[in-house]
Amino acid sequence: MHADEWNAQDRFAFEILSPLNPFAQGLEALDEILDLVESTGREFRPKHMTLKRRLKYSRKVLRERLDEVTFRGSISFTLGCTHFRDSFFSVSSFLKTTEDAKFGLSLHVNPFAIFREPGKAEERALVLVKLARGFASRFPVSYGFAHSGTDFAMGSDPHLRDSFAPKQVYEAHWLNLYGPRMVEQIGRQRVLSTPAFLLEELPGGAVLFLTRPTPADFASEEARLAQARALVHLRPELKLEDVLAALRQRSLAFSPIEPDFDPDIADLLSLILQRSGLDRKRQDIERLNHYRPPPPSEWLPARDAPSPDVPDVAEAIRLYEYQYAEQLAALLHKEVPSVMDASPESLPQIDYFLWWRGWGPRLPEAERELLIQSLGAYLGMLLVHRLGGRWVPRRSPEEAAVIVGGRAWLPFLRARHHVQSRQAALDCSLTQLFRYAQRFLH
Amino acid sequence: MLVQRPEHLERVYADREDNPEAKRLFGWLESQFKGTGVGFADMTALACALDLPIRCAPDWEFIDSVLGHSDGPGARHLRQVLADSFSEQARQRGVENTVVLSIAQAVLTRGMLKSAVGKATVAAEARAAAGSMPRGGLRDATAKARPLPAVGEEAAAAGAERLVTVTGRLRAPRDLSAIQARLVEAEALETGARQTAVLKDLAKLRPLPERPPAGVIAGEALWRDYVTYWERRFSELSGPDARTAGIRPPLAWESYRRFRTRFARAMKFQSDVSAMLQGEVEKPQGKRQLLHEMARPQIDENVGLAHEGSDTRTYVDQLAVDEATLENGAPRVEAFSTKQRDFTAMSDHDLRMQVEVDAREALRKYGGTVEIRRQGHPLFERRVTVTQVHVVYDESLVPQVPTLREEMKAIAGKQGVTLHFHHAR
Repeated sequence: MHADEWNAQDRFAFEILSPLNPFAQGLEALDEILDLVESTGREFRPKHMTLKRRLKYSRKVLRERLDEVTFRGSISFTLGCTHFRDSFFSVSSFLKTTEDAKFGLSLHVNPFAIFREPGKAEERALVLVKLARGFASRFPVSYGFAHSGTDFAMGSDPHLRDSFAPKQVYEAHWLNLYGPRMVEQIGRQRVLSTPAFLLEELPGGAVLFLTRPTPADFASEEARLAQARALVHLRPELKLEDVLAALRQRSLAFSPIEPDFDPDIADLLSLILQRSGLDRKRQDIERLNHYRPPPPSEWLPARDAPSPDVPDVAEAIRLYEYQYAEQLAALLHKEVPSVMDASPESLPQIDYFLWWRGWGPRLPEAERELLIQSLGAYLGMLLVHRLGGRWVPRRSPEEAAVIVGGRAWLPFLRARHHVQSRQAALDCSLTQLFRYAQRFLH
Repeated sequence: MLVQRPEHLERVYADREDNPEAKRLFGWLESQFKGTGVGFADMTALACALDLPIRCAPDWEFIDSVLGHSDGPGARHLRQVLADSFSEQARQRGVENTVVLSIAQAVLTRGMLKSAVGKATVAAEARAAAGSMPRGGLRDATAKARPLPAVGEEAAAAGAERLVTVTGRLRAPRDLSAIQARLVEAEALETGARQTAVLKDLAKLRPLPERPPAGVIAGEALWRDYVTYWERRFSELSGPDARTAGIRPPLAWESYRRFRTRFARAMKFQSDVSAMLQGEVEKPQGKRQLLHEMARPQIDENVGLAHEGSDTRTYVDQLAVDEATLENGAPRVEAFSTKQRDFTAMSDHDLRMQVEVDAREALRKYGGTVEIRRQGHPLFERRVTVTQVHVVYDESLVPQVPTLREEMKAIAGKQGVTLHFHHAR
């Protein structure tokens, strides 16, 4: 798998926090902010804006309709980038404030690969540096960063989720912006002697530094070394080798590995992998590569299977296939459209859905019984119609069987095991039982 | 009048054969009790249909105001009227027989129970006033009532036990009027297909209880609910001010069914979150994730809040109060809003906007200074400032993108709202 495809989920995160709300002095500051945002060049500068709804970007309209995005005095709006469909600036003065976080300007770029594009990486990186410089020359700054969002979230800096976190050195990102108070706390001389690709003192006493020329290679060995050196310089209590080891561990998340799943449920596990964020994808693949569900226990040798004990066998089968199995379509048709085809391919999707949403254990009892009934009937119906099986209806559904070749499979019992817990949806998947039945047919 | 005067009630009951005035008065009382029973049965039926874990309680305040602690023949007669009308209506609405019986029993034994509980409560309140124990709800008082050698002790104990069983699939009695208010609110926002607003044409679509559409069983509770809903909406639409009141035509059956399924799931999610919070309460303070700021948290669901300068009452999904701060001028109060919002198909941008909208809405509805309108709540009728507003999303409906999840928290945080993701196990 190509690295860009593997890392497709990664976003680029850039934010600058200010201890001053520029709007507090009046709306003249709006023009200054828009000047900054427009100065980012033809690719990034805004084309759209989102107020109550999405509009074509216009300073005049924005000013006139600013009340649409004002809530109890705090202002918050977004400006969509010209060239990148899912990338935008976010401008907001906070409703909750602390001494060093009252206002933030951020730029969200999706996907991160925009900063890896050959021939464009340097130019785009420069846009961000200029934006940080420009902001610091107009407004006071307390903290700022630009880095891979996933790598950021895996590190110890809480600023992605909490703008009010204490302003101190947590990590060395690609771009780092420290406000004057922070610089004084660390010691200006120490900050200014940080090993960096670029380091600048900005107006107002802030300091900006980059660990690498561009954000693109943040997970490379050179970048990790640069980050580690900068970090241990700023936080002398840390050891270079420890920091480096942790960073290298993080880098693994960004290098692809191939799945090697249990073949019976490989398609189910691939679906489950959709729920692994990039930060966990690699370790989840490693774990699932070792996962082998127990073989199905819900069967008897065909010769031991009981005979039907219902008064009307044909009627019982009609009940299973037309009522119970139909119920599953009614329950899941929106969430798992393939149940409408009643094909074996729908089984991994049903298993996945029930695992993901954890319906089995979450449903109220009556609904859960209904689900067991319909899952069992649906599985049984596939065994009958796709594998040439034969229903053996029983008064107690757990005993009802489908005879395929030499085995009598117990689909309702399987369904009951399936809904016990989320893990049970994997351990006792419908998919696996069907594939086993298919195999024992020959 | 009769209120709080059980001796007078008994006199009226005794005189009703000879005195037409007493007969008229008692007849009026009977009809009131009957109505209370029917209303309570409707609420119970709704609770059962939505599969709420809690069974709710009748309008005890009204019942007690008339019957007091009396156990005379008049009071017994009225309790029987209440229990009968409740049972009849509840059975008609398809409430499980065992539930009907146990609630009816609780209604009948309530008088004796009350006299025992009364003493326990007085003692408890005296101790609370002395600052030595928190004020508990009825359940606490009831539990404490059991060992008391009070009037009719055995009957009281049995009644107490039954009441705990009935109200007791729960932690706190759930405010059913809140659920009704929410159902109405959700129905108004429902985007599913609606039938025509032209009465003449709409009348042709009238659903019949005994003729459900294919695949629906005639006795199915949801179909009965639909027929009731449809008839009510039809009569509202036929009213003189239907147009000005903005009454919308009824949902088509399929939309109604989907709407109710979704609503039931949202309620289930809410009670999952309640259970999770209750689990927090039972942990030591240092080990709590959400309620770590509270020394002795108490959680209540669907608490009505009144807001200054507005007639609209809001119902907060969960309200946590630190009992240790009740005596303060500013008790610590945290409000939780649970949302099953599907973010999986949203763009990054829309997702972030939605979080901001939700955070602001939660602040508007549950933040700031509010008056607590839940009777029996330790802060009932107190005006308090909500210390912290929380939004709890269903984790399974949020994309597994760490950057996004972190940023969602930051966006809510900038509004002063704390965001959580809850995945029910």
